[in-house]
Amino acid sequence: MALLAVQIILVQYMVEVYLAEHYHQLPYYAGALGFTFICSYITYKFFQKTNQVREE
Amino acid sequence: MKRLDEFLQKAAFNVRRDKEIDLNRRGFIVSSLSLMGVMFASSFPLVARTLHQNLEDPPKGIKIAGADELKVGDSKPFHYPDEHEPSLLIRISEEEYRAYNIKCTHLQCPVYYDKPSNQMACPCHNGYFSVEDGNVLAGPPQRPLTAVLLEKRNDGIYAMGLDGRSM
Repeated sequence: MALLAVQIILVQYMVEVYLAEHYHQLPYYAGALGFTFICSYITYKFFQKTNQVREE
Repeated sequence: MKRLDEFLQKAAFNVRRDKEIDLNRRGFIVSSLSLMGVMFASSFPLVARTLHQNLEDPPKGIKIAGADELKVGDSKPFHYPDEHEPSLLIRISEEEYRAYNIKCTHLQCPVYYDKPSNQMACPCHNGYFSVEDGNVLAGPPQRPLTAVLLEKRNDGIYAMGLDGRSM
């Protein structure tokens, strides 16, 4: 949930930067969004594995 | 009578557990993860816009004003690099000129040159910028104005590009 909150904030900043026409900053925000998404996926997989191990 | 009773019961208690959306904790997390994926994917068009923007270099050597067209403290509006980008040329001393894109970096309101205070002012939310370098002096804007690079030639002032720090 914390990562989701981080992503929402990043999207908000990205839209603000786009509207202010500071286009050169946009790839960094896209990179940050991708990084957060990958972190979330790894966290999800980790807890999925943990659940599987517990159920065995 | 019994059949009618059964029918009414079915009509009244029509929640079918097997058809309910499975919104347990894991389902919620998967939905959140999908939402994050969608947000990441939604940033692609914006990045594509950036790459498209980088391909277009602003035109160089466009004449803005004549050599002595402006007096010290005067300003002249012009459009650079295209007709959608309003800019302002200001003569700040005998020898020095400054030019800035006048879209406020807060919410795109047009900025004007306030001669008495020698500042660039945004009337929408009272943002103030320095005439010397375009930096923010006060108000809600967080970023400096985009400067237009100038070259002084014998016959006038020419726009030579944009300062890359904020575009």
